[in-house]
Formats: sequence, structure tokens, C-alpha cells
Amino acid sequence: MKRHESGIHGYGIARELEQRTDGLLQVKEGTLYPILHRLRKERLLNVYDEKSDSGPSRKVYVLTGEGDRVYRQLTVLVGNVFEKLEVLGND
Amino acid sequence: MIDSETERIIEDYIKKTSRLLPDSFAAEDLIADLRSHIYEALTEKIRNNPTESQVSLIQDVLNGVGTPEDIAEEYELEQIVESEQSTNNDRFQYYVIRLVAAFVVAVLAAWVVSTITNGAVDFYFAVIVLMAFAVIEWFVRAKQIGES
Repeated sequence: MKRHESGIHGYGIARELEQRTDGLLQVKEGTLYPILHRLRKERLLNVYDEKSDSGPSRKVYVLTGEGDRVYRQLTVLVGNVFEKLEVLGND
Repeated sequence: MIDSETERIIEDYIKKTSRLLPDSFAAEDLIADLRSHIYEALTEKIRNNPTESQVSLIQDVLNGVGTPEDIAEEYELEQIVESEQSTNNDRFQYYVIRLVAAFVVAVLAAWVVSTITNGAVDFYFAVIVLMAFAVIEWFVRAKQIGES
């Protein structure tokens, strides 16, 4: 099952951002939470609590139906932008 | 096991961040997220570097998390985005309500005119004329506001 379907916690997002982009996208991890909270208010994300071995329980964020729709739209949009950039690069 | 000195550093950081955020449920929720993030990152660091001092590891973790000011700044930015979106929604709602209100008034006025004149003035014709007046008035007012 894909990550965005099973959900991911804030710490996991920070780790994946860093690992998947080979350290290119290093964000101040704490600044992810205001963004996640806004997406939750916009009903693009759902949240549930999960027990953690490290101490306090943590929140797991999952895309809602609407969030998934927006995610797919953005994926197509970004894909198109990169395609066009590649064409420009080849000219 | 996290030692008391490290716990104190975490609590200081959390307190500093809390002071910079508004006193709200949303901010409290964010602080809870931040706390569990810090503990998780620290636990992983301790697991990977069992011989290193926890005080130095927590400094590493907090550097990665960002300063309380960084978090407060992002929080404010997100609030601005949110309020701009709600302003746009409010504006759209305002225009819809105005249009519906104008239509209701035009229908009522047309009915009154049509009844008083015993049908000499056609009801539908009156509705169209009154709606046209409402739209013209709207444009004139919008122009006046734009000029002032």
C-alpha cells in the first residue's frame, strides 16, 4: 500500500523528504506542522493518533478523498511542467 | 531512557515556542505534534549513537526542527493563507446573497406593479426591467467605489 494511502506521521514526512531528494529538500522539520494543520483544516488531510515507542503518541496524516484528488491534479501539473522543461532543454 | 537535563532542554524549547504562538487549541495541537516529533527524532539518534551524550544529540535534533521563531513565522504565514482563502469565500458568498436578494425584490415589485395595474404591465417584463435596473445600479456603485 502506498504511503499516502496508509498515512504517515510528521517525522516520517521529514525523513522521506530528505532521503528521497538525497538531502536536497531539507526543511526545518518543525515548520511542516503549521502546513499540515492548514491542510487538515482545508479537509485535504485526516488525522489519527498512533502509539509511539519513543514517548508521547503521534499523529498519522492520511489524504482524504479531496486531498487525493488535489494530489493527483498536482502530480499531473508538475509532470507537465517537467515534460515541457525537458522539451525546451532538448531544443 | 532520556535523562533529566535533556528533558529540561526539550521543555524549555517547547515553552519558548508556546509563548510565540497564539493561545488556541490549534496551537496546542501543534505543540503536541512538535513534542512527539522531538522525542521520536531523539530516540532514533540515541539508538544510532548510543555512546554520544544526550545533550549534544538533542541540540542536533532541535537544529533540525528549527528555532521557535521559525515555527512561529511559518504558523503566521499559514494563518494568512487561510484567512485570504476565507476572505475570497466570503466575497463570493456576499455576491450570491446580493444577487438572490435583488432577484427576490424584483419579483415582489413586479408582482405588485402587475397586480395594481390589473395586468396592464406584464409580470415577466417588469421582472426583467427591474433586474436590469439592479444590475445597472450595481455597476454604477462599483464604479463609484473604484473612483473614491
